[in-house]
Amino acid sequence: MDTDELKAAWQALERRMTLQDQLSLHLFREGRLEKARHSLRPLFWGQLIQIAFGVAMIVLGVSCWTPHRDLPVLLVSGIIVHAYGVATTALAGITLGLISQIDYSAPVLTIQRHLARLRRFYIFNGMIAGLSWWLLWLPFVIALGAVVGGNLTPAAPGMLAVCLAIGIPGLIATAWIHRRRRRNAGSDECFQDVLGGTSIQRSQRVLDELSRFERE
Amino acid sequence: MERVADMAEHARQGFAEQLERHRGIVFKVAGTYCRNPDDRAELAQEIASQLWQAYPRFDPTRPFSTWMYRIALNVAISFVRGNSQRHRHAVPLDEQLHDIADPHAVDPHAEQQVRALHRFIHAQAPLDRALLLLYLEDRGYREMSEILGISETNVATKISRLKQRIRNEL
Repeated sequence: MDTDELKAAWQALERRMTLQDQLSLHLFREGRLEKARHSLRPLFWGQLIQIAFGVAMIVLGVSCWTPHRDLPVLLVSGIIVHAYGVATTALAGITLGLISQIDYSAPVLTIQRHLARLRRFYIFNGMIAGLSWWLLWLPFVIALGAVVGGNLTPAAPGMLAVCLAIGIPGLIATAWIHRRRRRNAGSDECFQDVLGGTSIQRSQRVLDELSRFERE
Repeated sequence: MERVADMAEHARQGFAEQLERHRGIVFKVAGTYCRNPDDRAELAQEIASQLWQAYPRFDPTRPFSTWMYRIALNVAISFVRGNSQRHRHAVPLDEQLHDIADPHAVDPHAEQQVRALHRFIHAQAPLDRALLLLYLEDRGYREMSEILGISETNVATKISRLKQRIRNEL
């Protein structure tokens, strides 16, 4: 097909597409412009909820360790919960910052790269916020006990043993499933996106594709 | 209060006029990225909504079509990437050709070329498809570089490779 034939074929194709899409025109004329899909809105609200949760964890952590600086178990538990709250709040804040920087009128490569990075960061955020609970539940329970008046300090050594016995194998199993998913990405539909393994790969693939497009 | 409402109405009218004048861009981008009519209508609606939301930030000293292409392509690429993971209206490509086929075509050779081009467009990766669309639309290298965010030299190299691919495959 030479250039003239190509352009003629495109014009014919264009005419047919436009003809079919005449029906879609009414969408623009019926005041439906505000009804954007807002695909990032659930993500936005999710991050606000995460910030509220993070702040609650900070309050709990601080309420636990400040009055009990003389009790190492409560001091350490409170600080761990406090640190978790700060981390989840900060991660959600950064994700919100990334969402707010999205401007579709920027060049295609800039925005597509930004979206892929946002996706990767969001998955990392979710993994940090979620996976830490394999071990975090113990300081959380102790801190909560200290704040509501129940002293769990005497039971702490036994609880620590249980926490480690459950948490460490749990984390190892999670890491194993994650690696397995990364290796077999796409072959197992029902485990799609488990632990973000395939999502991370997908966002990485998009970033690679963008770099390749820019380079080649 | 009334003045604010007047300004909003004025903006809306201005936008509607611009959109009407350049609506072909919306349809062409939607048609290039979606084969199914339902998906196409959904994408066209999404592009129009995003254009409307971005309109207050539009710089009137810049060309409206460049701004529109950027938004339309960004929305379309994200739409295609998002949708490829979900269950969309998956229809085999051959069946889709009915959608663009002209039953009254007088020139079978030309008809075949239209179908081949349609197939070629939809076989491209999302970013290459954007470049192909801009090339078919006779956009200048400068405008293409502004829309895509790559250098003019890079655009020139890519276009020459694209032409080679077209020669080989069509």
